[in-house]
Amino acid sequence: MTYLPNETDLAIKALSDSEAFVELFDHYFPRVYNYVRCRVGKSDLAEDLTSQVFERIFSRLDTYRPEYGLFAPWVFSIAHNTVTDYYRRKNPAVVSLAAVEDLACAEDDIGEMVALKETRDILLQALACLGERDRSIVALKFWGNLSNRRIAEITGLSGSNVGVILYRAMKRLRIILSTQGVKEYE
Amino acid sequence: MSDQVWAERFSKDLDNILAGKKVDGEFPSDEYRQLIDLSIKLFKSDFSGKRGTMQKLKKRILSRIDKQKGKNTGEICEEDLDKVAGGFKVIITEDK
Repeated sequence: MTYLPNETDLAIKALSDSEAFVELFDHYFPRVYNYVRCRVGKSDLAEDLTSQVFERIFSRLDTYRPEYGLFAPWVFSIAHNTVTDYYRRKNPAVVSLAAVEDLACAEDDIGEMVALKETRDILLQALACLGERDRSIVALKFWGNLSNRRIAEITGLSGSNVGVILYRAMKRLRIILSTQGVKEYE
Repeated sequence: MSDQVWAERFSKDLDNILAGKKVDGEFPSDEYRQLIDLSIKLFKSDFSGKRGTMQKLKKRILSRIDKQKGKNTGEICEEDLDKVAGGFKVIITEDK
């Protein structure tokens, strides 16, 4: 489910009601984590930044105005800015390369199905090969589940630009997977 | 056709996928079909994997939020309560 049916009420209540915040957290955690992980690659870094995102969400809940838009784009604009701030503090090229190097050992859950893990790792490696802007737009689309117009508002691009960037990024991703030897994309 | 035209078609198909709807089976090319397959795969991907990650982070975040609340209200949060020397009055005397 993309949106919680009562999320506006929950967002209003969450500032003083821990249970409401936990409900929002449970719903948004996988999407925000996946969004952040797609952008930064490394699992430990993704955890730290996801944590920061939710702390920012909580501390700014009183600024959320339902009349100006849905909760999800508001959440992902905070997630987007948190990761962008991180990249501003760091050298993006270094981080991206480090992320690629660390991906091979990013997970250590032996019990997880090997095939699933391999697919995830391959996808993460391929995503890490995209440029930062492209990766951000792909992540906002697939894990933010946002329209091109909402993504445009968050990134400062035009809606049609977002569509073209997304299409070209996915084409590049397919080629990267093909060169990595993933047969279904050859 | 230009990238702009394909991008518009792709965006429409993508929005259908994200809304849980089926995409029309008539694909203009093998490459396009692969892009749709890849999109479905990405949409279904969950990198958070282990439930433990979520629980660990939830605990950490709620604890920090608890601290933030404590700062605002002047109350001591659960975590910091452990550090309080409850019940003892500490008197520091100088050696003379």
